[in-house]
Amino acid sequence: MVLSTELLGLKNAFAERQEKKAKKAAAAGKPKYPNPAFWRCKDNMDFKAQGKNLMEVGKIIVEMTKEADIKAFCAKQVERCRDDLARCALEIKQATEMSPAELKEVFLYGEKTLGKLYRKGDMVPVRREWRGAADTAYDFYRWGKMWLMLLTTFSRDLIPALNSTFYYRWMISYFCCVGFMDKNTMGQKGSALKMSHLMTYDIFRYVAENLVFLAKCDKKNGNSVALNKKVVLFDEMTMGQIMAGFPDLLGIPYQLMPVFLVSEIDQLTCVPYIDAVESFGLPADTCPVPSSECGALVIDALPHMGSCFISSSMPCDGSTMASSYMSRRFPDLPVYHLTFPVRYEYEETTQDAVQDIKGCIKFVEEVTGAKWSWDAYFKQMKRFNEETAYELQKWEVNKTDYPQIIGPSYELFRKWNYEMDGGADPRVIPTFKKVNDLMMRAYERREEAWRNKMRYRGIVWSCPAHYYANFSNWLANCWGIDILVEMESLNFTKVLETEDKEEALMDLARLYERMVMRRHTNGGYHNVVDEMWRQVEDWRAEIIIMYQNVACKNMATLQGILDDTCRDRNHHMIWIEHDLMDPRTVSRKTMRDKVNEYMRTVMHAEPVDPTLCDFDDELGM
Amino acid sequence: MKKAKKKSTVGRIVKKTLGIGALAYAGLFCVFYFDLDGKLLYYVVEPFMKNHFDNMERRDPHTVPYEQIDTEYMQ
Repeated sequence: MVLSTELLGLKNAFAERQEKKAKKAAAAGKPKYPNPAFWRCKDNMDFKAQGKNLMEVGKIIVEMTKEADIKAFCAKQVERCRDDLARCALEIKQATEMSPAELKEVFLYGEKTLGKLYRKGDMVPVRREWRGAADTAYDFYRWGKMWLMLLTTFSRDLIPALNSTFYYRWMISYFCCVGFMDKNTMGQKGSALKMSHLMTYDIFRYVAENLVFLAKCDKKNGNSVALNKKVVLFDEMTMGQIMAGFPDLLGIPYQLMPVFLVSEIDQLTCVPYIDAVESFGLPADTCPVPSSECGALVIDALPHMGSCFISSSMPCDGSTMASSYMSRRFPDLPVYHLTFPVRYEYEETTQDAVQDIKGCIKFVEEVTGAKWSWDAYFKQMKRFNEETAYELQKWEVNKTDYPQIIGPSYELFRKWNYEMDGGADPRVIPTFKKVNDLMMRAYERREEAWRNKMRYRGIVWSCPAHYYANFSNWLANCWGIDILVEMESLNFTKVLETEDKEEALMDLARLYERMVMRRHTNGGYHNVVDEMWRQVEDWRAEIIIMYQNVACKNMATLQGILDDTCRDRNHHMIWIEHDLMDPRTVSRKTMRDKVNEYMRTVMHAEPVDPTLCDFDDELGM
Repeated sequence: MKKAKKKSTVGRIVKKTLGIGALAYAGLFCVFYFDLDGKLLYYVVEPFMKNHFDNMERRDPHTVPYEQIDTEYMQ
């Protein structure tokens, strides 16, 4: 039994019309993205199995209702409501005690202390931030727009998407992505808030669309045979640019949605994955990225889909572990191992990498029957070059005394755009243009990303904690440390070749070899140590936030050298221990405490917002 | 006379639409400002889903032989 586009006749006709429009637009040089043909692929759902699933869900609901202590649940909600009302009353009282000038200041420019938004043991804040009348109105508009986009995207193939929600634990974390947006923009106002929202929207749109594609392709859900033939999966740490030459295929970074990105949204997502794979005997000091990827395979958290899989040794050899697990779990999926030379600075190794890329293209052609198109590749790379030019403009502004586009939203956007999008989505260019205009106007007006809060210029080095993606936001709000740039943003910025085919492949190889993290953690210690000091000077950073994850062996080997060079230069370096995707080892609070301690004892500084020095978010998303 | 009646009907419709719009706006703003969307997800949806995921029947990887590569394993 099939319930999908062909059963919903109306939807099918609509999709056909859309596809015709898209073809016209493509002929006019304005292609639709993602290819409308992907949405139109029919699903082949096994409704007998889905019926069984629904029965199971029903049974659980009945059991839950029987077992649930409704009285206790209601009492808890009443207690929360009372607490909310008490907080409201307190805030009203505080407002009445303010002078008219102070009240006007809060009304127009927002509240100054943010610690009161947290409540012990809660996953969500008590309320959203009051950013001032105009900025709260803008925030509200973006909130509505985000929900609308999420709901309309999911409704493009609702049944498989809903089924996925009932099957995969990680899907539920995406429901809270709007809350994640709030965390990333906390304290931001004016142009900074607008830029953050614009960038976050593009990332979430990409995620929502790919979540639906995952649901459509998954053999347990949509099981779309037609779409699966067009889907090329690649390791989440492998850049997507290679798919630029295959415009009729859909490249999906396989573990990005179930593991990597969701771990930034919800700090607890990867815990079951890590526990599962460690129960098989994997040492606990292994990098949590491949550990989580393997754990996700062990507990069946990854969809069964696609025509082939491109694995890689990127950013470091930990990824090969996940690749072998992947082959073992889905032996029906042909795998190509894309493994680039580590010593990438020796130009003679680039030829090896080019051979690897050629092999990969041939592999995709053989498996899918698609043909590599140089026209499509060059078109996308031209777009990517334009995006890189915009990126460099951001860096120039951030290096001045008036940095504009900083914070977690920007960092996330940079990584996503560089690694996953890579110029594929033409809708991203207008975002770049809008953000650039806003940034330049804000720069001319000498605005501050966090108004009246900037005290220190900071730089982040080494791999950051996923479970505290908005750490730089806290640094800015609590201590006035504005993170101008993170190591993971500083990647390959050379203009890629868009005419000569051989040179284009050489450039593609260079790009891949210098991907996020790999650019610094591979190829010799000077890429980490010397490069860090060069960047510190270039950005005129006063404080270095140095992440330390015991599982990152490449970085751990250099800890002593980094310490020694820092002492020699008499620079401020704050080591922040973390466990990448496992908040149980080092909690967010412990990470904050390291900064609090350093700022008080070494810098003798006073916090910008003392209410943020100590608060509870152990359970918070 | 007819014109005036028509005018008043149009005015009433406009007023009603504006009123409904204002109410919807105020309601949505309350949802937004007090993070009621997040609270609904965390206090109601999440505990239910957690219970559902914990109780789901899933393949036990510990019982699967290391060498097993068959269609059942791949489902």
